[in-house]
Amino acid sequence: MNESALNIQGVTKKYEGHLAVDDISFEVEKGVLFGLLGPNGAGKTSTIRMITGITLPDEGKIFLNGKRVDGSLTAGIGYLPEERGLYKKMTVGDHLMYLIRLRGFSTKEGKKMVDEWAERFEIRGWWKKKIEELSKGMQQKIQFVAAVMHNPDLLILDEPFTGLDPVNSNLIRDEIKRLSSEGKGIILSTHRMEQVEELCEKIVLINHGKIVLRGRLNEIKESYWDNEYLLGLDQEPGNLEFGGMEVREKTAKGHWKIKVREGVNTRDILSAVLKSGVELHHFEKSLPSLNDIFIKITGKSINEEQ
Amino acid sequence: MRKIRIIAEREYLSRVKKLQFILITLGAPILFGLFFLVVGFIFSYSGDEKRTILISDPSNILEERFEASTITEATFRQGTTAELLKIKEEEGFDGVLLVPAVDSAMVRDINLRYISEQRLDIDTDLNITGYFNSRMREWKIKQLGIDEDLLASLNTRVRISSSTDLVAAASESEDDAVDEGSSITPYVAGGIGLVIAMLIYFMVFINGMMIMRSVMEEKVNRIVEIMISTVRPFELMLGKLIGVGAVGVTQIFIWLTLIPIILFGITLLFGETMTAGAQGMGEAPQIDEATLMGVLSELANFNWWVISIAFIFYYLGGFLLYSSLFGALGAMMGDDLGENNSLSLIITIPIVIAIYIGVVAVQSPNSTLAVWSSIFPLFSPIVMPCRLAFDPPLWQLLLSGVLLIAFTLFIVWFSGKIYRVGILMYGKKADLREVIKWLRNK
Repeated sequence: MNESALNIQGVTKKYEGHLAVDDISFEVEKGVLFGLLGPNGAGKTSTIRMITGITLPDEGKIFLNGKRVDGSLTAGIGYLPEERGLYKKMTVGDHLMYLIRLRGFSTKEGKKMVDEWAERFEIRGWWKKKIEELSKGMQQKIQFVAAVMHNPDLLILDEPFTGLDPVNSNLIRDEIKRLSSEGKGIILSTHRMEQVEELCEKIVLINHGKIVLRGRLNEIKESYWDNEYLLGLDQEPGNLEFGGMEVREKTAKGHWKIKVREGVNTRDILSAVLKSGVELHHFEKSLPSLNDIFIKITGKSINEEQ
Repeated sequence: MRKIRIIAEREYLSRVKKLQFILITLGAPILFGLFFLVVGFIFSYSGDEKRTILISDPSNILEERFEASTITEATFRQGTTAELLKIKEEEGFDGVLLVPAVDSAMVRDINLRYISEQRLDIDTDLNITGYFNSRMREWKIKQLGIDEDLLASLNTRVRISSSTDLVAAASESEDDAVDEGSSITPYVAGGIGLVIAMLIYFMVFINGMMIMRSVMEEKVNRIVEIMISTVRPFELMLGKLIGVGAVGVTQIFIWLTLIPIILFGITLLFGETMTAGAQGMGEAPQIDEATLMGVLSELANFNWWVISIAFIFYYLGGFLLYSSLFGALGAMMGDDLGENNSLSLIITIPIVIAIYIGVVAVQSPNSTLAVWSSIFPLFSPIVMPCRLAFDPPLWQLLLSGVLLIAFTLFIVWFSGKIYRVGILMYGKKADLREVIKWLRNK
């Protein structure tokens, strides 16, 4: 097991009689991209605000690198909030310097850190431009830099890809992967499941302030596997003959999704295909998407409003 | 503390570096002068309508002369009312003024009659009655055969010169006390008081609104989301207050150094025209230069150190007090400015009342209203400066100062609580009930 970057234990937060976060515990390891999932209003932002020390948990403890931090603002965390903005009238350079000085670095130290990121994201040329002169995508890049430039041990990214064009989206994705491989603890909070499936190794899923699912992504998917396979065939799968097969649907890619009875294995399916003489060009175990799993647990899609 | 300093520094520099700041700071004294001129003009404005009237004056009290300012032309005719009205129609007069026949100089009441299509306005009414009164007096003096010099000697010109310096007053001889300059002291003192109070009033208003706008902007732009994971909301608010407050103090410093320079300039200028005037045309000065020089020498007699320090102190007190309220309001506001306008109006009411009390305080600086208003913290930042040049007792200054500091600290703390919750609240209108809930939050 990797070293722990963040450990939260039994954290609870009440707002005016409404339980926003209800006894949540989880651990984020260094170098393991961690997904914090849940529909809007599930308690993700409330949880994050306690981790970053913006609010105090009513109950529970929060440890950063093994040190208890709840209620303190620490430069050990980099936070990219979901709703984010910058001072429009400030220049890029002034703004980044302002934020890094607020995090407790001297002008000289800060300059070095900011410079490094300016180089990496190729924003040197924008140094003297005002924020309001930048495109939306550029502003988001600056916001990302602002969140990570002080080299924090734990990075919390709340919906980091919203509003990004594909080019910048890829840039940020690569950056997240790189930071993770460097051994940073990273929490990716989102309600966009496809991003999580692509990036995260471990997840917790929150609904109504409670954790409803947790663990390694592939293990979760395996455990919710419903004996489904995807077949790419040159004709209708109706000709295949073996017991207990059901055709579910034809996917957008033209594959057939089939469900087999418990106990039927890959070998049985393939031999049936061979016997029928049908041409096979794709064969895959069809794992459920996170959204499917979420629907299974809560009866609702994750993108529906609560 | 370091964070507050960095925030304050940004708030300060981002404002002071603007061209707008320089323009406003240098332009304010000029604008201020203009403001007073305009107000003076409005109050001294009398009707610009001019009219021609026909006067019937059987006893010849007016001796065919009528020189009231709203009347351009007066023509005297005799005749019945009907005849006069006919002449009015034919020759196009605006009105007819009928003076009754007066047979004795002992008459105490006279009823003039004015006939016109237009209703008699206040201005013309006062104009005619005032003028007629003085002419009636002349007529009576003549009728009664009174010596005018004798009559004039009944009038005595009374002036008062005041001194708060009891020791010096005890030792001065009676002749010394008759000092031409000191009779204008209260006016100059009042002027200084009003100018300072007005400056504080405008600065508190403008800077308070500035704070409110800037808080709202941060909330709407969601900068605050990025900021609060780094600094505490209270630090953010304090930094902002200190930064913007320092902008005001900078302005005051600039004004305090500029004004003596301007006054010195005026002295030089008028000093020269006076000598020039003496060589040239001799008398007939357009402005009463002696009065002006008197005012200038009066100005030098005030305790400018006390006034300057008090100016800055009361500005800061008033600014912090009201701006933190404005800041809290800004945090409560949603994305649209109009929403809580009624609340911002409520906050401004005490400042507006204070400036009215200030005007009264200048006229009677030691009245109960003036004294207690200058101690009550919501009013004192504006009312006390009005009384400053009148040398208020030390205990009042101290009490007012201590109360202002204590109350301001309380309000800053209170606003901080509202601000803290408000800036992170979106999409929800914050009504008073909501705010009370926030105050109860840990």
